[in-house]
Amino acid sequence: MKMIGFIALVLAAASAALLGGALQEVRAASPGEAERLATRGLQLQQQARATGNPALYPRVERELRAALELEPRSALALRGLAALAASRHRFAESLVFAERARALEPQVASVYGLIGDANLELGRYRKAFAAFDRMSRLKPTASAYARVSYARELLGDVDGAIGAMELAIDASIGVAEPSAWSRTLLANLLLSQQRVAEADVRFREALAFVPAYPAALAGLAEIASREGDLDRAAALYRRAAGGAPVPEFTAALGDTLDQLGRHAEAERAWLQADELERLFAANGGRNLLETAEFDLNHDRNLRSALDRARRGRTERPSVEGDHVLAWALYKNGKCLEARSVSLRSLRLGTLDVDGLYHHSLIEQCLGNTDAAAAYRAKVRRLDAAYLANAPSARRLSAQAG
Amino acid sequence: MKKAALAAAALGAITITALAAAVVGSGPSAGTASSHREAPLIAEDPSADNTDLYAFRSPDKPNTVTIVSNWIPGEDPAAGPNYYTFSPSAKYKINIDRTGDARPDIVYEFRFGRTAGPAFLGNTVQNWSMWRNKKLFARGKTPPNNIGPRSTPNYPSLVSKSIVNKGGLSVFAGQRDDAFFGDIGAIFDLLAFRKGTGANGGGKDFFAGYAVHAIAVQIPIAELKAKNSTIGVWASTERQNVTVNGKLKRGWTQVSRLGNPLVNEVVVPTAAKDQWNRSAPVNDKQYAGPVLTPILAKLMNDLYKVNAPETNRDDLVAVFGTGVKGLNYTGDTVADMLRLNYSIPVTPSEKVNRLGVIGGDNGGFPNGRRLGDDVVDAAERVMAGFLKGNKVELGDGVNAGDVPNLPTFPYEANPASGFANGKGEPRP
Repeated sequence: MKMIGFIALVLAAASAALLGGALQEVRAASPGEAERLATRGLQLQQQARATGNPALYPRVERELRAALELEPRSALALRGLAALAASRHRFAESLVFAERARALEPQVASVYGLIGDANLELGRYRKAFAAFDRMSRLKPTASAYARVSYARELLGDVDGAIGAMELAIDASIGVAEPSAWSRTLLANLLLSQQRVAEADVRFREALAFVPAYPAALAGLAEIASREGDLDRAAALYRRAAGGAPVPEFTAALGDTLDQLGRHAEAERAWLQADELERLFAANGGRNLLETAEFDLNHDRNLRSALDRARRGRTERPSVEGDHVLAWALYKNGKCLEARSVSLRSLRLGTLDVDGLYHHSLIEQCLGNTDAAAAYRAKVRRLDAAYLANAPSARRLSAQAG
Repeated sequence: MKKAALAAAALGAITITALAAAVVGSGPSAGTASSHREAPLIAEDPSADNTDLYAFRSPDKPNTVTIVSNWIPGEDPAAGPNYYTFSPSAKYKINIDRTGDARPDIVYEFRFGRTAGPAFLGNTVQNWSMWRNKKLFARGKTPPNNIGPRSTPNYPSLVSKSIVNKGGLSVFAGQRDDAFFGDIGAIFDLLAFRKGTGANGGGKDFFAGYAVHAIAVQIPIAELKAKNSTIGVWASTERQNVTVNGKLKRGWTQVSRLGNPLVNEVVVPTAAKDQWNRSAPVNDKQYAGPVLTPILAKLMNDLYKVNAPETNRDDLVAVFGTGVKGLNYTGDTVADMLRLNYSIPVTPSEKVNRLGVIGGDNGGFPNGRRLGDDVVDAAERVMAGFLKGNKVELGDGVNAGDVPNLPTFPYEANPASGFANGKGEPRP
């Protein structure tokens, strides 16, 4: 939207406030103004995501809410608000906005992506998958294919996930960032299958489309780390973290530096990751699960992490929420409760190496050595090298309850 | 031309997407990956996006009709390493109705292969297969994109080598200069024609130097056998349907279609665009309402006082929906098809009028559409009520494309090379 348009809108809103009853007339005089404002809000949000900068979220929200005030039936603004809420990991809120948008414009395919995303994070998988199927039937786009791919991955159908992501790549031809994005997601899938060389090619392709694409740099860092080249991994994570203020990149940098014995630097990177999580939260983001998982993986603040995991999982009762809570329970020595939550986290059949490993620890803690061995075997089949460099299994000693 | 799509393509890098920041694998900091998988909210799909469609009697072979269909808006020839290609998992279709019922009687379907290496290395040659009414009809290869004199020397010869002649038809698929021209920047700025409502040049051709991917088919008139010698043509693109449960049956969903220029932008409301793109012309009657009372006519009156009729626009329904009686009428089925009465002779080049029929030249738009027809000016004037006697000299000040089209098949000009492109130069 042009600045002039924005000024016109502000004037229109101001005069509307003054004139009261003349509101309808003002609206009629600027057709599409709400749509332009909503579009601008959406563009800002896309920018927030592309730069990984949550500081833009409040502005996005102001613009979209202004559009909605001007035109309460603007499905575009509602879809924007649903997407914004999802970016902030406020999935229940996202679902409310998305359902309102669907009621107004049920024929727009993208709304089913938003509805599916929210349901997925709320653990309502049947609804989520139905929404993705609907989206794909209404308009098969890269966004639809990528969602179907993720759903298949959650269900343990990794080959199917790879197939759908290849379609997403084909549907991204001619647009650089989605080309890089879909290739990066495909590479991550390939990496989960130990198809390292293919993953490497895809990450490099992504970097050809968008130079210094942070997620692809992080992928190459992961490969370097697996190959034992920790210096290179650290350098790549540093570039990824420099390109996007995303806590995971900075945390991974810290972990790599720690492995290299550069503990002071590692500590600094971890503090920075904390800082980025705080920035995300200060701008309306919900990250109880993320910060809990970080602390659990670093053997710190374990009791508070359990508290956050419980609250986070109430907000996000997904397999991911179950996974973090189970891990928190284990770390706090509550292995019995951890087991049932952990089994819930694995209920879709997801081939998540961390989740399977954590479950093996929980079984071990309960003295179920056969089950523990069976889960360790599953881990080994997915990633032969995982156990050699497994996350810390340390836990607080068993407590009552 | 799908202007919205093009504007979106131009915004490109800034309007896009989530960061796929999922940290994978065994690292102790594996995050809650799902949160960084956010898909683009507005998924652009240029390789499936129909931009323009042309149908005309071939000037050098008047016993044939040529259909040119363009995809992929706004290809920057210097966009390497992000080279453009047809999508290897889409179906590209040219549909011809010969009876006026808005159902396809002849369908040419194209599928494209993968490039031999990663496209970003510049290998853009694709094998193609063409089916005629579901029967395999021909195979060929696209030329490479015009990357530059070192990568793709003698470009015109690469093009002529890639034309396939089979069963009386000539077929070409590959990169071309975008034949569309118009001052889209100004049109989007509240229809701000740079020189008022005149048509005396001074506009800026937003499309100069940009390329598209085209499929061109030259068909003997003897093969068309259409009622009243008038065919209805539209192009479409389909993508594979997938389901989360991969075992469930897949189908195809049409994701884009195009008949007449500007209909998608002007007639179809944003909320209905997905629906429009997957629907068939035979069901277009549902969109006739907005055509009868076009919001654009009101907007033009508000802005420029051109006195355009705002209601009862049966003239617009005729131009875009049924054909014009005495010219290219195909019956009362309202459908967005480009209608060509091929019994109307080719207009000799010195008598061609860029405004087509409203310029007294029945060999052009809306009787089919030639590559050089100025559909923006023609549509603006028709919108202002030309056919209802309100003749206003509207125009966007861009009266021709930036490069001349070719005298022979595939007619649409060679794309500017990435090496020597001059896109975006202001026109005199």
